[in-house]
Amino acid sequence: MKIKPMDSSSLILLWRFIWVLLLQVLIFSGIEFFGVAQPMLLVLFLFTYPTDSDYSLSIFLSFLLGLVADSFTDTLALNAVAMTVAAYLRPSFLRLAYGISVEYYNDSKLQGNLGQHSYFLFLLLLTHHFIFFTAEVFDLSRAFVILKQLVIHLPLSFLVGWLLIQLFSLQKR
Amino acid sequence: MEKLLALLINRRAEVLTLLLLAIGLGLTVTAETPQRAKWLSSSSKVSGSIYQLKENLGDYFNLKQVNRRLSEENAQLREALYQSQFEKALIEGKFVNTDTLKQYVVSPAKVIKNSVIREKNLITLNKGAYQGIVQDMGVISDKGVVGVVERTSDHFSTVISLLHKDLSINAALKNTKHFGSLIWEAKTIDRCTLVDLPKISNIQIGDTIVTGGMSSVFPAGIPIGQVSAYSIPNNSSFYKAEIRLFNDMSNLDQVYVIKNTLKEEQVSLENQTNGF
Repeated sequence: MKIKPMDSSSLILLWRFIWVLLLQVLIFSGIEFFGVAQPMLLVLFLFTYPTDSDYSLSIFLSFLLGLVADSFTDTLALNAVAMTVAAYLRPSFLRLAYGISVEYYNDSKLQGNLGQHSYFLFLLLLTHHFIFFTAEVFDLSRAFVILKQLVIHLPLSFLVGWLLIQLFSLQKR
Repeated sequence: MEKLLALLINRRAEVLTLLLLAIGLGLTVTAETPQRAKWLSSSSKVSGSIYQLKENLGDYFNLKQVNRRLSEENAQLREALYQSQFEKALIEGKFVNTDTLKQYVVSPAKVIKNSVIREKNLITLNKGAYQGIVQDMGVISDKGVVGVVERTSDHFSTVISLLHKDLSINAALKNTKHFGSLIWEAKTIDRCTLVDLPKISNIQIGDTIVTGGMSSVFPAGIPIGQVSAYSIPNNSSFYKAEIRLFNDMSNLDQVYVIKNTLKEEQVSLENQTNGF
């Protein structure tokens, strides 16, 4: 029996999966700004996910990425749930940020300006963080705690994510 | 049937999302129970080993600081040891081998992962069941109480941190021995709250709080923190005090796991007595 070699797009996906996982688990999870805030950037996987790749696969891989990260950070399955929702909403966010419909988009790379990239990243982070903290608190009557966590973590995640995107876009120029 | 299949295929993204959400939320709920999936924890073999590798790399950069803390602790221990031997010798007129009656056995461990930003913070140690660590052992550092062992794998263990909103520890005023329960209200990482402390205790700001020794987890007298504020809630007969922790919970490295060798005997006796 011949084993079919992985094509380059699958290898790139695998590489990004591992890269984002290690970045979060080994670097960001060790950072706690002022003992309260931590950058949570698993959504970078969805940010860099090829737009012409399979939608269902993106949902499954996001769940898997979240679950593996959870096993490292003792966060139950909170990242898995948050990443699944973010992956499900990703096409809507692409439409909102770039005004494109994924079904008719041929290019695997996102073409857009800095504002559009930032808006897309913000929407992904907001969804991930909101679902993560809501599931963690598991009590809507404590909405203030959820809001407080969002205010603490979201700006830091956005800032670090934005800097990373800048860094990589500079490298590619 | 065909229509149902066609619908499932057409809506596969929605079906998959719902399925994965159900699995994720199911794992989140069951993870709160003791039967939770072992692999979903940082004490699992794979994640534990990766954290150990990262810790080993980080160790090279922290050696100086760790050495200083260890030597400080060694000095304090030697001082206490010499003092107790001296006092015993004076009282009994001879030196006593204190190894023959040991209720508590202490084994060192290293923190390889720590969290302080959640409401339920956990710590991972580099020692596990092979080194004799079991559930409900107390964990301390040179500065004071750290937490209680929650679960173990062969080589790693996870510890419920003092900064975990479900943990409650028996704590007492060092001077008067009046005791209450130490909890964390998830406000700041350097403060805990002592509740149910009787009015008669005459608490003062600056009083030292130590473990009360009413449980079988910690020996009595291990430092916890200092009273920074206190009040009596309306219509209550008990004080509520804010405790500033001696430990910097965001900077833990070397810790000690405490085994109570007489725990089974104590618990069994208490259960029998409660049965009457």
